[in-house]
Amino acid sequence: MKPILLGIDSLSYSSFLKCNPRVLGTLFGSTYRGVVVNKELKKPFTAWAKILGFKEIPQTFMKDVKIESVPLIQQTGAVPVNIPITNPSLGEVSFSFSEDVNIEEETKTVAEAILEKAKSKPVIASIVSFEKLLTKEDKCSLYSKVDSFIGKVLSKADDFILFSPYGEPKGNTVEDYGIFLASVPRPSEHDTVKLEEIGYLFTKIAKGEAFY
Amino acid sequence: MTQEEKDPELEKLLNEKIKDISNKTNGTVEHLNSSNFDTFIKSHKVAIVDFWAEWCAPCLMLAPIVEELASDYPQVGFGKLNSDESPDIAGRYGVFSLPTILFFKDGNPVDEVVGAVPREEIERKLKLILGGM
Repeated sequence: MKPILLGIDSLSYSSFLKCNPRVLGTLFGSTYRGVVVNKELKKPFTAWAKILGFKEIPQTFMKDVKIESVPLIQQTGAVPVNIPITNPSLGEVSFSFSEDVNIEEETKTVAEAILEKAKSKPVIASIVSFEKLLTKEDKCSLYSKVDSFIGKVLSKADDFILFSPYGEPKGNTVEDYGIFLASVPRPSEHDTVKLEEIGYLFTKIAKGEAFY
Repeated sequence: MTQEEKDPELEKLLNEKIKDISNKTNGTVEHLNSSNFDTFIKSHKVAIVDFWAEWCAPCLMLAPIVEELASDYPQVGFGKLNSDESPDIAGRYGVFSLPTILFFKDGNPVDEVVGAVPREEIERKLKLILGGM
């Protein structure tokens, strides 16, 4: 399998003890971990634009994005799956932000696409409904569904980065801290992870230049 | 947990005592630093301080538990201190692992918990301290 960059917006360490997701708990104890600190770019399209290497951060969902023009895709040759910089999302699988999304359907479709595409190319993928549903449905039930999805995908992966660009909604704000769990170490493990560093590390992994 | 701690009579007395304790706080977690730390621990009969750092993932796991406890025990002062920003305070109490929770009584450290532990472990120690007052 080729490397997988998997982002799930709003996934947060702050719910790990409360919801006790089995796969995430195992990954937490067995992979290289970090904390993504992001105090400004709290919308999916802003955070992902930064991760994907766009020089200009959009104010809303981007339009008419050509896949081959995305810097991180140019650098890695990755296949995008459900990337939340456009509405509907960009890539092989695409879901709308404007309509209610069924998380079971989304995770199933995205998992199938990742596992198929990663046989031959690196994959950059996302789940968009988790963040939307966090304020509407039982949190731990959502964590359980996403946890199963992560297990299904990453159990087959050789190299991966699992991250969230920011944490959960908290009142009128969003937590500044996202998760970062990876199969390879970062150069400075005791530093926080910056958004741009995620794309940089994935490029290193995709090119086989990661420090093992 | 010992047999003594499971005693329902003791539990009842403990809970009544907890209710009786005045010195109410507002149930939030105060952000501490080198300039307000000493005042904070001296101004609360019982205080709990969560030593954390931004890069520390287990610290972020523990944070909501501390917030929950702060809400449930308004008579206790709850604070969090960023060890990277206030290394002098962390050094003073020998905090080398994060997260570390220190329990203070009358301004003095009396107990600690290291690591992202379940709520019950922190609460058990807190109840013992409150019960001894």
